[in-house]
Amino acid sequence: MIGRLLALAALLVAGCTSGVCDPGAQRECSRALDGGVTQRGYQACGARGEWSSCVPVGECTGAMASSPLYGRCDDATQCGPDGCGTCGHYTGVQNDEGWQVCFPYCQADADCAPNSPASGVTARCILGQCALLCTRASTCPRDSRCLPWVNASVGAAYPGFDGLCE
Amino acid sequence: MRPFLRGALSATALSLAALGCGAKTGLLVPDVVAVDDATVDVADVTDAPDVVDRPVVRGCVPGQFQLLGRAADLVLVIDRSGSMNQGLGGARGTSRWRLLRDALAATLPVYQDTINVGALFYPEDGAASRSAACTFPNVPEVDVSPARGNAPRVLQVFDDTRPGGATPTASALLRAYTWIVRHPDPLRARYIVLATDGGPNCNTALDARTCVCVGGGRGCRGDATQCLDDLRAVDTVRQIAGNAVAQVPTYVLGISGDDDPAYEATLTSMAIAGGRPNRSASGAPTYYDARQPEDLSRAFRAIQNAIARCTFIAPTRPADTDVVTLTMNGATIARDTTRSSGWDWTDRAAGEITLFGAACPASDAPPAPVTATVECRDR
Repeated sequence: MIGRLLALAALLVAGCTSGVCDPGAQRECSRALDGGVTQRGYQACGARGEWSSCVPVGECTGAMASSPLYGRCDDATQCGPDGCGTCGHYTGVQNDEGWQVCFPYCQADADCAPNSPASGVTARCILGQCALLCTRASTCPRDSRCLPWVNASVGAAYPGFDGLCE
Repeated sequence: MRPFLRGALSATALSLAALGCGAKTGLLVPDVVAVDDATVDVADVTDAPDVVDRPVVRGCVPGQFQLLGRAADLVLVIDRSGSMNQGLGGARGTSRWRLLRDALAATLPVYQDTINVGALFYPEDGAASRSAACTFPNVPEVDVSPARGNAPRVLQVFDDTRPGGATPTASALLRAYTWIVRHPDPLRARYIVLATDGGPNCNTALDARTCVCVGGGRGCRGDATQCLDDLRAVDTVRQIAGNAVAQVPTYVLGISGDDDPAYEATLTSMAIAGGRPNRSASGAPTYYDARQPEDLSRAFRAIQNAIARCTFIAPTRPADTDVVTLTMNGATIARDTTRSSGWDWTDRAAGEITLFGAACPASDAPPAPVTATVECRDR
């Protein structure tokens, strides 16, 4: 009898091991916000074999989600629903006016594509944050401009580009 | 077996199984959690008389101004690997873990009301297996979120956990950086202080047959995670401190004293890449060294001093950067774009100015006022 009970317990534990993960593994997730807005994300498996919470990346989607990526902003509330984008400035470009733009967090360059017309720009995920690399001839989204690198050493890491859209 | 006993055993087995399942699957907590849980309370900063937390005025405003310190967040990235159990110089005696804890206990309380201090310890405590000890995924989580008065919380982690496992330094730095950028605060300067005894590892892309092993020698018993991961660690610091999007200056505090040339070189390279090296008597850049317990406290005090007393917000942001003159005690401070000794703009859009080298004296005396004279020219 005791053996049967132990076997039952073992079966139940085995049945739920789908939640126990291999350290280093990763899987997709999503989060739902008010108004039918959703955002993709990832979960990572830590050293203890437990999934992290969902880390959102990329822009939000849904009727209420239209965040003006790379458009000028003064605070995060102008960048869509909470967490869909951040309003900040890039420290690597000359920005005497203190402009800020909306940009999302990312895992890959594909997460960073602008959602309004632009030309001659390249979307990049730089250490988990989206930016648009540009040249003097580029047209940046909305009313942001291609601001030049703050110094040559920053620019050296992005050959062929003159700065960032901001 | 009696029926009631059988029932009790069944219930216990089912409960244990369900609890185990919940703990591992997250069934007992929401599967998807919004990570936007910024804990920095900007309103708190207004209590501090010597820091400024308001946006700088756009454009050029002429005049003479006393600079105010910029409010700051500091994330300590603390090595909890097995080697922290050793004493300095590899000797027996008080462990590096204990020495670091005592140094922090002596210094954090002094600054905890002016700097928001947080901490991330690596590797994770209680790895699922030996091979898992290198796993440190890039998620925006730290052990102690930066906040005022955090010294007891940081020290409690030292008391509650013990060193052990591998040294995934590059991954830990990335995680700290990710936490910082995912909790943006344009009004605060952000810094990382890496406290390590050197010897980063955990890079499976290296070749165990040809690499230099942590602890010396070659071969690493065929285990690439035992290779010295110096290049990736230095490159990670360089990217964090110098990328185009959000630069986070990184201080390096070496708790080594091993005199291992490879470790020494790694610590020095990381310190230079981090943009805030210590300056030796000859002016050569190096890491903050802690070969003796009292040196550890002194080094940490110097780092915190630099953050608390040498980063300012300019009252105006002139487009022409040459129209600003800084003086301290009546003496002019030269602008030095190499950041060896003098002042430089460190975040122009935010109006941030930082003093470097001899211009940022380490002293327990009250900070000398720094005055900016701004002349606006027609553009």
